[in-house]
Amino acid sequence: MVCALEGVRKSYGRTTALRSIDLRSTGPEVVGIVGPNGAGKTTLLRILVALIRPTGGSVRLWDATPLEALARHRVGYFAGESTLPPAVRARTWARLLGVADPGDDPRPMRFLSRGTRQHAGLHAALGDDGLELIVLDEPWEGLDPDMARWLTETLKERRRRGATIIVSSHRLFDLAGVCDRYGFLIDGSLLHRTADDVGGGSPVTGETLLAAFDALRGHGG
Amino acid sequence: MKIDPIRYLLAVSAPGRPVLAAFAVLVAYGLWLLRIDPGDQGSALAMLLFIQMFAASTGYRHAAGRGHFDALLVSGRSRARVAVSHFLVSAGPGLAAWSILALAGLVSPGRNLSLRPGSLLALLIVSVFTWAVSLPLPRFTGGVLWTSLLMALLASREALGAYGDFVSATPPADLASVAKRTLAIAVCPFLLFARSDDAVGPLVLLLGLTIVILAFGAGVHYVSRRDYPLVEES
Repeated sequence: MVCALEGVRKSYGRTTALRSIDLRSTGPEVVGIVGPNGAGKTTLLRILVALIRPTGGSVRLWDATPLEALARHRVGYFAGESTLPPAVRARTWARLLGVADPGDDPRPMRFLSRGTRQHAGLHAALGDDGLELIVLDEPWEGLDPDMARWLTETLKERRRRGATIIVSSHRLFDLAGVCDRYGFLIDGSLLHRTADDVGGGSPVTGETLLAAFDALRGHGG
Repeated sequence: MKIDPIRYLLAVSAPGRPVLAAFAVLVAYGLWLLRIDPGDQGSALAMLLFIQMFAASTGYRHAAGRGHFDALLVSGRSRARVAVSHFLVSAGPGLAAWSILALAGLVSPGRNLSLRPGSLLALLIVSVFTWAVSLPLPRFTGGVLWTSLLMALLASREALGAYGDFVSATPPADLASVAKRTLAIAVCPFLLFARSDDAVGPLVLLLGLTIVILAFGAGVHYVSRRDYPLVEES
């Protein structure tokens, strides 16, 4: 079992971000997390990589606590270009994260375009070929079509090599092309659907994913 | 991928170039003082402590809330090691500058003020307190707060009276005096330059060191046990 979340809750004071989350993966696969703004997607992903402790419930990665698992397994995580330190140069960042080809861009992150920063962050986070678990928060944000295609192909390649990938995104068209199953985060709970459930036997498209999302939250299509 | 915390934090969170330049100037000033008057390091060391108040105040929560430490924290390094590395990167330039002056003092014929236990305790108090206090605050806040406190005390007659007592008093004889004097050096470690270690008293130095260790432990605990939610940019 790569990850097993059972009844995970997270509250900030009186605000409940996550009510009861169950998520299990034996990997390798790509799990897409879909939800509206403020649904708790970022909180859920940060709980997975031990950056946030849940208020209740159980989180296990490879039958260990997330902190123990991080020390023993190769986990990649990236929460978007805004999390990159603005004064650090792109090539320095890649070297710090052990990327074999760090590139030669001498500019600090703050002087790069949003898309270039996002690409630099993803390139560094996904640079380790042996990653066992990859957790990405809105990875397609800011990417141009070529970079978006590179990301999609990279994720498929990592899955083929045995990685389990958990990815959240608002860009349903990008998400539809890469996921084996989906978790819809609605009212603090995670509702699971396989790609077959969503696509009705056909390949999942952005439209069918949106329709499934609307149906689950009771919106007209 | 195990990321080296020191390398990572040097790139992401080290004191800036103006701070490093200030330390370089102070080292040059201290070496010049030793040359013209061997044994007189006091003013250079006091100024170095003052700069260290700001240099070690690198802050932590602000950058952590923006996700700048995510890659390091997810790389599998222990949080305690991250905390210790953060302290070393924050206080390192000041400690290095002090070490240069101490080495220069060793080869100088006069007394070496920088290696006296009281002086070393003053360096530890400033380095650890400003680092620990600044962890939940923006960069430089620890230095600003401490400087403000010292300025307020300078304007207070009671504080000046206490300073007079400290300078003139013999080693403390009872626990109340030990506690009072320890509080005095914790608030104003510069006092440790004003008296010999014998006059300050070994118990006061030991208690001061204990407080430094507790403050360091509190800082490590803060980094190790806190949550790291992302804070939206305004």
